[in-house]
Amino acid sequence: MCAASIEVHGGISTEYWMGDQRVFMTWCGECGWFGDVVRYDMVTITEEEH
Amino acid sequence: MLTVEQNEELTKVGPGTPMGELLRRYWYPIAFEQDFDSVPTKTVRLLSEDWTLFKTPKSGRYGIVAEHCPHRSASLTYGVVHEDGIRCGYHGWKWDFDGNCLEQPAEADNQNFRDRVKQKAGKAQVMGGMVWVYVGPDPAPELPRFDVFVMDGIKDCGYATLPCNWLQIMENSVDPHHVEWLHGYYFNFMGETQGFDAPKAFQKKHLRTGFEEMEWGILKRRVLEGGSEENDDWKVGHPLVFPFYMRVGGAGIDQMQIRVPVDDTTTWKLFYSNHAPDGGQWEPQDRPVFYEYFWRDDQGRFITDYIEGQDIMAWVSQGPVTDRTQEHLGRSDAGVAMLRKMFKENMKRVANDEDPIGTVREPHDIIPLPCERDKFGAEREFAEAFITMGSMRYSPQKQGLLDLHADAWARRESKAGAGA
Repeated sequence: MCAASIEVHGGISTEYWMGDQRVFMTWCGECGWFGDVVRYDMVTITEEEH
Repeated sequence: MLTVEQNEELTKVGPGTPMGELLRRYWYPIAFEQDFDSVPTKTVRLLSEDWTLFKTPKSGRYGIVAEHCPHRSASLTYGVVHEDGIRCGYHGWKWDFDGNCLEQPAEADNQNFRDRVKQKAGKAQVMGGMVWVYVGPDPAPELPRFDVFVMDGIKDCGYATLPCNWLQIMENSVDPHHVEWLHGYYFNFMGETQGFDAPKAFQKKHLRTGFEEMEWGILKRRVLEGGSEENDDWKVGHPLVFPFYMRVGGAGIDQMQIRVPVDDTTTWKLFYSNHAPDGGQWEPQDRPVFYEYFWRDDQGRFITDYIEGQDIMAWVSQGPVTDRTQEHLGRSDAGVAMLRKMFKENMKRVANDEDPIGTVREPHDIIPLPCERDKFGAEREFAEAFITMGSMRYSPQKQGLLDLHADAWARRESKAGAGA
């Protein structure tokens, strides 16, 4: 969230697979953000009813 | 999947490495009191360094200094122990508990020379029949008195030295699914092929697992087939205690699994248990019972017909240091990724001169840890399997432990019957 480099600021990103998704559990050593980053080959958006 | 550099950062424990500096902020058990019954010194290896652990003859105080004398590198383990320190057997240089040089007998009395040499030294204390050491920077934290080591009961501890990095053992502690497969499905396969009944409690399927960061590490929870979030396995769970323990138990058995990082490719693995079943009666022990458990047979194959033997196969067969550049983690490995993050986070704290998690600065009597008591919904079966199908099967007091739990069970049944 702070746009710092994971590598430079002592963070870590560990890849795991969930079905055909590649997920990167990521911790930012600069701002402490911790969560999953998911790599998409295609982004699918489900529209809310409107 | 990690890079080579990330893997090395997480697994190298020597002085000056980020992980080595983090791990030096904690106390480790490194010997037993009984090791000093007949000799006053012992060579121990911890965090890729060799040390001389010693006990003074009158006061019984323990000290730890780097093994090799700064004079000409002879081993201080073959030194003379005094009340105020240890003297090298080679030329009589004497070192106090803080590593200060007190005497250099063959030198002219020259305070300057004594002051110019210093031996690396740590702190040592006894708890639960084991000698614990701290070899990090001052001020040393308090030795954490985790419940299993100080609670009342019958203590029993199996140990072995395993040829692998301690981290691959720790990662197993945040991997609940292995229980269902390694200790369930595979154990059942072993039973079918070798003609014994594997414990059924370990064969239940995992429906849900949870990992939660807490004060002492990562709390691990599970819901098993037939259970719910109301069961202890989820409601209470049990923790990985950062950075080198796992607290487990149930059915009147409380256990700390201890993984001492001896060096990059060696781990001293202890299963330290306290038996105090409800309704049980026991005489106070002089000392815990310590014994070696076995994990390879005469042909060099892993012994996998007991629970911890199966774990050891999984840890050691990964190689001396797991090559994490080749791994393929899945969704069920989220706890593993979380643990790596916790190590990185605390390396950073240490680099910033802050205490890492689990540092205890206040004197205390006991640190209670959360741990389920009703394990897998199979109390009596669980206790018997823990003793007869785990490393405790090698215990010299195995039958006494079985009798303790059987008597306690009978008393509870009798009491419940009388109350009905």
